Amino acid sequence: MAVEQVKLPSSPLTRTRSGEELLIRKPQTFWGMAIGSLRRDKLTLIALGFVVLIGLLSLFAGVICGVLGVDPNSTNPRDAFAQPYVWAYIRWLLGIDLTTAPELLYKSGGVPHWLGTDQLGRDQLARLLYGGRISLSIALVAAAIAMLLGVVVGAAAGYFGGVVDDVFMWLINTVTSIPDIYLLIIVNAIFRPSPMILTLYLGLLGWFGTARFMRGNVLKVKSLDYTTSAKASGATDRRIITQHIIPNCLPVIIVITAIDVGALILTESILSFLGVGVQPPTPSWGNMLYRANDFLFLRDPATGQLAALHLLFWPGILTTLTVLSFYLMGDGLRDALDPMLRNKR
Amino acid sequence: MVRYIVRRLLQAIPTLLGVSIISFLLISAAPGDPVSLRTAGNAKMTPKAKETMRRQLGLDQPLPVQYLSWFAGVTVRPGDAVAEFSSDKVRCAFVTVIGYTVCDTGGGVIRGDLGTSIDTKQPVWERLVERMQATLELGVISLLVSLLIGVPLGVLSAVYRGGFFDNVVRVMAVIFRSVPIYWMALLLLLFFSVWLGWLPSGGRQTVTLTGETTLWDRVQHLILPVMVLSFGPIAFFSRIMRTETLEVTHTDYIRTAKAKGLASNQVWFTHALRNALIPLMTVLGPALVGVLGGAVVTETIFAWPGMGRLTINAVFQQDYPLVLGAGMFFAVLTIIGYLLSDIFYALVDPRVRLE
Amino acid sequence: MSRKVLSLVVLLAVLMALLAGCAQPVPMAPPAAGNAAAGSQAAGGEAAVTSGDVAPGGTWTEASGPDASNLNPILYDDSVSGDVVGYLYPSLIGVNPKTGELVPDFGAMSKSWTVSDDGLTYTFQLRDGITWSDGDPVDSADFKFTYDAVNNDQVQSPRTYVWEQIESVEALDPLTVVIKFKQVKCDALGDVGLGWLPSHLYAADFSDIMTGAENEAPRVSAGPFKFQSWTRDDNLVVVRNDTYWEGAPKMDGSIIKVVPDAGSRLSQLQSGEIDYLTVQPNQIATAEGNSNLVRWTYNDDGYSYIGLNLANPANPQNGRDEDGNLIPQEPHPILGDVRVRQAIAHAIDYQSIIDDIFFGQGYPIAANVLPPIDWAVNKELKPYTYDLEKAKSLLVEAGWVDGNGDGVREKDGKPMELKLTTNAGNTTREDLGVYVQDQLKQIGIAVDFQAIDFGTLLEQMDAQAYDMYILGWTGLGSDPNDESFWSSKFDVVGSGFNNTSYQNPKVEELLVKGYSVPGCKPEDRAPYYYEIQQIIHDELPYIFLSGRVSNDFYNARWGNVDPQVWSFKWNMDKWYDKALQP
Repeated sequence: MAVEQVKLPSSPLTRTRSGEELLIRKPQTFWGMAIGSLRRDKLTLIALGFVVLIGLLSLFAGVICGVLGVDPNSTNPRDAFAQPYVWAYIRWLLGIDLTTAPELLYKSGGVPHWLGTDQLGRDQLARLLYGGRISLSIALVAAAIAMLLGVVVGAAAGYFGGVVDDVFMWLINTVTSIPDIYLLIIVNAIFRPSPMILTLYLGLLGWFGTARFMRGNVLKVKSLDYTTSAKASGATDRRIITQHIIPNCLPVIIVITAIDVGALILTESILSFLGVGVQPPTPSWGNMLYRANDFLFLRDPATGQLAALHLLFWPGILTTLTVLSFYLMGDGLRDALDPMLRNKR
Repeated sequence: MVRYIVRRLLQAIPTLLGVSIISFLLISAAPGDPVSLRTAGNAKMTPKAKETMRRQLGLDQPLPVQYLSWFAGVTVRPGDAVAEFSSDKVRCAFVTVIGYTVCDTGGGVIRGDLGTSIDTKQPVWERLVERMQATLELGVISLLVSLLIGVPLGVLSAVYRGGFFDNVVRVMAVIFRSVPIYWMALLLLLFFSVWLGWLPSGGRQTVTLTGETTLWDRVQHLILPVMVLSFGPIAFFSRIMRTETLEVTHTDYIRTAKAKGLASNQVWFTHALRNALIPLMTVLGPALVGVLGGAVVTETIFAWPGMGRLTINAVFQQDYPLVLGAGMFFAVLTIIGYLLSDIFYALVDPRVRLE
Repeated sequence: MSRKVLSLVVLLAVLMALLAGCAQPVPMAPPAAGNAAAGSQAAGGEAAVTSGDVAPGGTWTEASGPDASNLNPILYDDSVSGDVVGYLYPSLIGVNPKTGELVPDFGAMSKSWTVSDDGLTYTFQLRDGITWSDGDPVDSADFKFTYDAVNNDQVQSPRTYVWEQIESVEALDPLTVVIKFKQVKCDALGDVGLGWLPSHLYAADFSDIMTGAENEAPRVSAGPFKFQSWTRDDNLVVVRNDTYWEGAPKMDGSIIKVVPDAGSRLSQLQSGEIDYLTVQPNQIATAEGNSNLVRWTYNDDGYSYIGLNLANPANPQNGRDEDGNLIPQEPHPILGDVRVRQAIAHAIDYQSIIDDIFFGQGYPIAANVLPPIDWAVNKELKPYTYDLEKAKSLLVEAGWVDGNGDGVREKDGKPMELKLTTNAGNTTREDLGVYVQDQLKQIGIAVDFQAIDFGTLLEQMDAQAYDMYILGWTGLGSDPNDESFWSSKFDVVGSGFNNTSYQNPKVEELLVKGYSVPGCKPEDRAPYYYEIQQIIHDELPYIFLSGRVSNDFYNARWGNVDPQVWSFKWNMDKWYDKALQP
């Protein structure tokens, strides 16, 4: 927020006010204020940082795995349920446990499995990275599809009204009568789609809320004065929608989409957990937990310890943190973009 | 008011029709068929026996005919088969114009007959009702617990806005919303049941030969599933209550009350709270429906014999009548839920006019 | 913002460098593991304690993943319902638990039977004096009623196939049943083992079979237990039947709990909440540690296999036309060549699959008849050896060579790519698929493995539009006749089990001969089955991965438990709870 002296173009108003240069804030746009507000919001920035970190890690999954020498698909059943190397390594570094780390390395043929291995001996870190890629891209693309569909349908329904509106509202009411988790389970159990088609389904079944909101907003804006005057001066429907209505709704749409991504990660993970999401052997955080569930009570016969806790912990914590980040980002964006709410902080 | 209700109910009809058509199309598009699925493991099964089963279940007929039979209880068969299919319950007539025999079996969804489950040969309605009790028990108790915990948390959060308590509650709320529900369930299961051994790992009660059980036993079995199911709603309710309470405290009449010199407590409880509770009531209906949806995973993990598990198993086994019946059931429930919610809002808030 | 991104990337790079380059400990072999706990196997049960000596009482509890579906003996089609039906309803013939032979004993209603000279007519003499728990006699009318009901079109029974073998059923007098078969078939007796409906409780026109209350709450029983209660998806309870003709069981009753999660079931077995469980291979090590559990390991009547489509999936055809003539099948472009199939058979490391995926609970098998059917299994046949070099040379011989060095062989410009599927949800098979895909990569075959929904898989198999699938057979029974897998009669697109499109007139002839031997003596039938196995072994419509080994664990406090290969519960009425004894 820069406070500086600015020479205003002379206008009758300023001249009559006073002869001094007025100390004024730099003129700010709505978006400028929003970004400025965001910059100050530490929590949201941390969340954003986390999302970017996970995104980068997943993007460079191939490179990272190459460097570490691990692969998400190569099986090694002799080394199944290996405990995470990271803790043993730390203990080795600190000198409090000098045997576990070398033993783990021996069993895994010299390649450290930093987060342990699953029931087929596949490295968990590698699978988490590739799985993150799948889970994140499904959620992002599906949210984009849902947003696009929601905006278009909602705007059309609200603006044109009449039959178009009735048909779309009937469709929306019908499909939302069934709790969406059931609908998704049914659809996916029937068609057991590949990740791409799964994304499509998630998008196709996720636009209703956005559409309802858009429609409501469009109805509100339609009755406002500037719309009537735009129409009076001969603006086409399309121009009105794209130039006036959509920009007005954009802030909240962004917020909804950010929250949507988080919700979609959760949905995909629940579906995979029930066995109707991403199918093995393709990894996704949800279906890694689905397999881990099988081995929940499994104890290592030699030590009596629960053998699969690491398989349960990591995919779950990653999912939670990622979803949390998206929700926090959504909240932060809402606070930044909604002028009314900003006062209520 | 009455006119509004009637109008809403009439509007529900095309919705229900839509639900029935969409569900039916979905199920019919499913690859494979229930007969293959159920007989895959039986090495003695012959193609002829499979065809017989398909015919008896009506699966060999074209889709629109199957839909009509399920939805309206009307069967259509080629040729004149009046003599063959008529009985005291079934009335048939041969329609010469189209060359088919149309029979009215007296059943069909519109007459309340949801068909027979392929899996157990029981009427679908019976199966749904049996399981509904278990799910409702879980859902209602979870909702009550969430209200009892979430509402005070939200209100107090608003009262001490900006303080430590407020921040803790807000952080916990957002964390609860982010945790995958099944992960939470598994962790709790591991902790309380496997590691500590304090709570049972599943089921509704300890099973005995006579089926007797104590209240404490039932409660023990409820604790974990209710905990898991209420995390989400607690977060939800506390957020709503916080926002509503804050909004209400900024309104004119509250400031007037404060200016008039009413004690702080009185202001909060008699005015603010009552008004903040109203929007909460309206989301109860949808919240219950949401909880029922969340129950799917919880029931699976805790072996709770409810509707969620029933529906999933029915889908996996392609028990068409049961899946379709469950779909219709949910649709009706949702519609009634939203309707009650709107009516309540109108009754309570004089500013709202139902058009 | 971009500064933050940049610093994150730098942090990442530093972290990775650290991980990769930091000092690592030297790998070290762990100290030799102590001897694995000697498996406590039930070597056939202790000396049976006579019933008079023991105090009655105790409840036998088991857990099942799926719930029972229907308790009507002719309507059910799942094993849990089958178990309960077995507790309640009588059957004409019994099964010898050690040999699997069908005999008029072990709970059978018949006390003897004779066969006519032409081998088509069986006359059964029923035991006298057996009644349902409400006093009504159990007689031939019940048997006839049951089988007529299966035949009735109002009844949606999954067992209509029994009438494809049976010509007629006659109740000559209350204690005599005469069954006439359509042809001489040595495994026909298997079809007459259905549980009997209590005909006195049903309408004579079969109109209430589908809707009767008996389907959910049977009122009578002629077996060791009576039905008590059923809370669906939760638990099913049966109690002792005091009127049981072999003597009332010692235990008070039995409970079947529904516990969908396999891990929970194991946990309940260990804590003693349930008394019995068939344990998955990956859980055995955990269960072994319990000293209060007894383990029973046996070779089951099932095996895992890879089904190979011998015909071109783009052009599926029935095996025979309407007149019964053979329709020649267009061979699969890759799998149609027997050398390719043999190469695949040599490229799979069976022992490693058994060790790693089945946790040792399996054994290599050579052909389609299993060792439990001792008289028919061809002991000379050896399973295919794991021999990568042989596999590679077979492929080269068949014309598949890797010309362009990409690791995948080609022939006539077409790459060697095959699709492998199995049913999602069966985690063992999912792991198996990954394994097989890996192993076939080593000989230059690019396998695309997908675990798909069971319904879709079945549809693909029925439509014969697949390359390879992994599945297993269970419950094959004690007769070696598996004609429905190999005969062209059952190569029916859309419903037949011969979806590999296997067509070999010699094998079909041998199969028919094998079950039409007059007198049905095993020594007469065996030579045919030896030859069938040799041919199937050589021609590889299936690649046999492993025979099934099952492991049942039960609580040691139960006495007189005497598990046998063909039945665990055959003497359940004699079991007693040792903890209740003085």
